Amino acid sequence: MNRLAATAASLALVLAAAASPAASAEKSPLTASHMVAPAPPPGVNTMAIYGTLHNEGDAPLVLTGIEAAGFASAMLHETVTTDGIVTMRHRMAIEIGPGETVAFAPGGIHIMLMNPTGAVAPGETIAGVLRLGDGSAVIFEATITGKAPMEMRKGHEGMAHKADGAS
Amino acid sequence: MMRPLAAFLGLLALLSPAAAEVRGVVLDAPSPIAPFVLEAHDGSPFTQDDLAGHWSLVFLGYTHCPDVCPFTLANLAAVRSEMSQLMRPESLPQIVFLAVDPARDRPLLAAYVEHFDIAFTGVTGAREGIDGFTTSLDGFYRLEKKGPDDDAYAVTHSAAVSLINPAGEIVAKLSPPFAPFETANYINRVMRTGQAD
Ligand SMILES: [Cu+2]
Repeated sequence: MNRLAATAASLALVLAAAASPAASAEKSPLTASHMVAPAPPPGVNTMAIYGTLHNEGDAPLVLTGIEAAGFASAMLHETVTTDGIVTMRHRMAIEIGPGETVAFAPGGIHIMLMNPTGAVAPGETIAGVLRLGDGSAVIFEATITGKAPMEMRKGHEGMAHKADGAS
Repeated sequence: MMRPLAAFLGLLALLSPAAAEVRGVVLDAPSPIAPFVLEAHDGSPFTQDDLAGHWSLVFLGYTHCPDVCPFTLANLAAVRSEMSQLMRPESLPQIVFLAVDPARDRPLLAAYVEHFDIAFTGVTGAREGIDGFTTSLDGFYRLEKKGPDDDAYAVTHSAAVSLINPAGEIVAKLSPPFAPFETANYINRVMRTGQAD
């Protein structure tokens, strides 16, 4: 990858995120951890980012969008398996209740990346921004790994639930 | 400092909860594969005869699949590696990836299967061959192409892996997740006894 261009693109994304009203003032209650993106096989122009999002706050958050430096497109996707048939659907919004953790994992919700603008090499990172419904934004970095992860989402942990007022 | 980490990971493995379940079904009666003609990733012909004389695991997907196909193929590579602890190398099942999107899959297929395991066989070809093999697998796929210029389409497809015996008949089906150790033992049992337990 052209490192200079990638760095410039990452910087532009980060600056854009910082310029949004809520991001600069206080730390977001949304944390993104263990963000990894398995490198695609040669010639393949799609890949996924997996990881863990956690809402440390006491109000529900709604994830409404995603940006990733170095890709023509980044979307929130969910793989759905019905009667043994796998399909993917675009998620416009994912709600994360207070204290709730949402796992992005194979066979469930993932960040779908398409058409990288440069080479995608294991060990490098992808800079991204998670956009929330309240106008705030959270910056994250995903590490590009050599292989697909081998654990799937478990049970319903990976599903975004409706915020439960009683919890 | 690798040693404390390795010790920690070892401990985690010991403490990990009940072994992951395998979602497998042994068919009441083996289901034969009807004749088909496809092409392997190295350009050689691949037909039902290439399923005879040894065990095979077949998975249906497409190369531009971002999530489930890489996950499944990485797991099948790990399953095969686990199985190498249980049997002689020549007894290991052949792992076949049926690529159902030949327009995009064919040019990438050799490098694609090698990315996961050099022992894998990628197969694709004319629609008739793909559909014939898919039907025998009781599989399903649909290209979600929105128009003639759409080259970023996804493919809806079955998630199962079929276990095929040396007579070229499907004897069992496995569904994700494919936890390598447990899946290897499950397949080993079916290969040896015809039963899952
Ligand atoms: Cu996707």
